[in-house]
Amino acid sequence: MMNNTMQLPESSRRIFLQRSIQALAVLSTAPMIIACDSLNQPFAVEPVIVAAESRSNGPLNDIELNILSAVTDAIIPQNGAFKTGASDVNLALIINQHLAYADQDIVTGLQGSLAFIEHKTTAIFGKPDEQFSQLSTLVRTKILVSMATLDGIPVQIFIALKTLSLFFFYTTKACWNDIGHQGPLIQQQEQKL
Amino acid sequence: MIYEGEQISAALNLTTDTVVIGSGAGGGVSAYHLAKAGVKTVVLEEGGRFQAKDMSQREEQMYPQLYRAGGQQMTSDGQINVMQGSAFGGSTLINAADVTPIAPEVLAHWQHHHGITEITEQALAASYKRVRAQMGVAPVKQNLINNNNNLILDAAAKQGIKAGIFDTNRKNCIGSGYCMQGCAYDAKQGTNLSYLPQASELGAQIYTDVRVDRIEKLKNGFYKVHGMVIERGLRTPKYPVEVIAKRIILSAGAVHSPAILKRSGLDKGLPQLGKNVSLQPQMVVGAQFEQHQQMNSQRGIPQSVYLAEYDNNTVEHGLGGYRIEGIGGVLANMVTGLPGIADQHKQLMQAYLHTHYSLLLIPDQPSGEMRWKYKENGAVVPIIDYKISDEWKSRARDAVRNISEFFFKAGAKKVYFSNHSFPVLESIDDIDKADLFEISPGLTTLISAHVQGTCRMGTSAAHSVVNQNLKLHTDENIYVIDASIMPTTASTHTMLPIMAMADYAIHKMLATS
Ligand SMILES: Cc1cc2nc3c(=O)[nH]c(=O)nc-3n(C[C@H](O)[C@H](O)[C@H](O)COP(=O)(O)OP(=O)(O)OC[C@H]3O[C@@H](n4cnc5c(N)ncnc54)[C@H](O)[C@@H]3O)c2cc1C
Ligand code: SF4
Repeated sequence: MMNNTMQLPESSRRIFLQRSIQALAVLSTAPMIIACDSLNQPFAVEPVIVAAESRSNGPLNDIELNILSAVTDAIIPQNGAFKTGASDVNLALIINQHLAYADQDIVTGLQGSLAFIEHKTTAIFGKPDEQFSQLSTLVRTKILVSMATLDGIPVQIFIALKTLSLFFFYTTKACWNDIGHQGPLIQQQEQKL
Repeated sequence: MIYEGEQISAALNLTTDTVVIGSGAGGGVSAYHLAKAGVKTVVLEEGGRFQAKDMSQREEQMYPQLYRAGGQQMTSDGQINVMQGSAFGGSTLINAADVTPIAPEVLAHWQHHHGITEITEQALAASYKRVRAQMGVAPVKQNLINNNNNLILDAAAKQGIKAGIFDTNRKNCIGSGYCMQGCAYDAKQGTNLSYLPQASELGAQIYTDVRVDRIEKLKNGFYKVHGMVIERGLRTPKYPVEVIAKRIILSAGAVHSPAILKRSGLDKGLPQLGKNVSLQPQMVVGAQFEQHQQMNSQRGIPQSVYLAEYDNNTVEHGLGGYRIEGIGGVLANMVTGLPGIADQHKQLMQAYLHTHYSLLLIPDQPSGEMRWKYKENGAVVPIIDYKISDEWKSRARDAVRNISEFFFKAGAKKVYFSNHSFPVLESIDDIDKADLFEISPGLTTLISAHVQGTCRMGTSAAHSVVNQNLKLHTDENIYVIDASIMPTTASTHTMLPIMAMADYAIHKMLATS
């Protein structure tokens, strides 16, 4: 889909984006809805790290997954105040797994926002010939931070992706260890027995 | 008997005296007292039945199962997350178990501004007593107040300002911290434990996973309730349900009770239906302390202490002012609204154990309206139009300033709010920045746990939906008994007010019928 939109004439691309953006209202509230839709599927207590070949589990293709990884990695980079980052827990794959059972408009909203981030934000920030996912983590973070200061669509996309990334990141054990969160008490009690 | 959806394998046709729709604060209490009085009662609950053994204490698993829309029901502008439980026990299954009565000034406000002369402290006294006894209400025990909540008490005492410890409906609580994901220890006494099993023993038939769609008024004066048995999880419809009854109690909560009335065409002559929505919005406050000052908000009772200094309840406007109340046990949900990304965010989270977290609760005046759309599978999609008033925004800025000052005086090194654009305050000298606190969709993450209004109580159909007996102005045998009926926000916490009103209304109904 990503490649297709790049070949579309500007006017239809705008319509596509507009439609995707509308779905972002849903996307910004997505994390738990996605989890909800995955309920009737077997759901590992600790999200499984998905091998590259099983990426087809979720609706995002490799290019989209790559952009999503670039986004999640910029929102929660490795190291800094604590070690674990989005890439350590394969956050993009965890999100994609949950998306497998999401409503189509949520998926479309996410795909549209990833396309926007990859191809539009670089122009807004003076790098029209580059793509977001090819920039360094530092530059990607700067772009996202700047998006938060803009009105309308960029801020909506920023908040939607931030919400999605942080929610699922803080459901993983790896980051709990870093911040001192002990996690479910019942599991600790069961282990003691 | 309690029947769960998965036990039902064909269409359901029932006849009863009274149907109660919804099993939360209003429905649970109503069903119990009806059954106790020997009234043949059927309870229909859309959500599933989840028991202690089902509570995994995992946010990504429990919100989708126990909350309406997986915990992400939003106002139409995307600004406020309107949280409601949707399960056996309704929101009492997932709430924070703080017990507060209707504020006296609110009752007086209702009397003077809404003509509510019958609902007085005296009229409610017996109901409060019964509800408190049934749920085992007592003050939170000292040993279960964690450091996160104690900080408010200690700092308030030192600064000479008002704070208090909540009453609660918990028994044998071990302080796991996971109340908002359902109690895995049967300690929290929601209606799922304190009213519904007892109603069932007294003969009420309770059906979970049954969504009511509409009420048909039959020519013989009876009603036919139409619904569907739904699949747990995705809530797809499985089998039709029809129940013939003489009387209907709508207790589906402030979003869905009016939706059912509207869908049934019972809104005729009720121009206020769906209007006058109060949300009592809240936002997260983080106050970072020195590393040795461990708060560990994740364990202990999540919310046991409140700061009352800035309460401002008056006969003129009812509930007002603002307050903070400790919060914990909702890590993933809470962090999504905090400021910053990348290392700025990580620095805040690295201090997780020595950060105090509270919710800043700011009561509102009714300023919203609801509409509903319906999906192809019959599910309701609410559209909650809610406008934050300028007066509320100005109170919020006042709160940001005074609460920041409170925490800095208590020794905080940083104070921040669930606002994506507002900077982290680094010292008491920064508190003037409160004037720049922006409240607009996207930038400020607000939550509401107390949606009310939509079928407000009053004296005429022009200004309200139900009368002081909680009966529709336009129908002899349809009652609304839940958060919908509050003319304005009843209290800083709405469970006890709703339960007391339910107890009161059912006793009055039984006495007169
Ligand atoms: C996270 C959270 C924390 C809270 N903490 C506190 C607290 O500490 N103290 C306090 O006093 N209050 C608290 N509250 C608020 C309080 O729990 C609610 O105000 C109260 O439970 C509302 O009662 P109700 O009867 O209106 O609806 P609910 O208790 O929400 O029950 C309504 C029920 O109706 C069902 N239903 C809806 N539509 C249909 C349909 N079509 N067919 C069949 N069934 C239907 C729903 O599934 C739900 O189970 C909290 C709420 C939340 C969400
Ligand atoms: S803190 Fe108490 S009431 Fe809350 S979930 Fe834990 S044991 Fe249950």
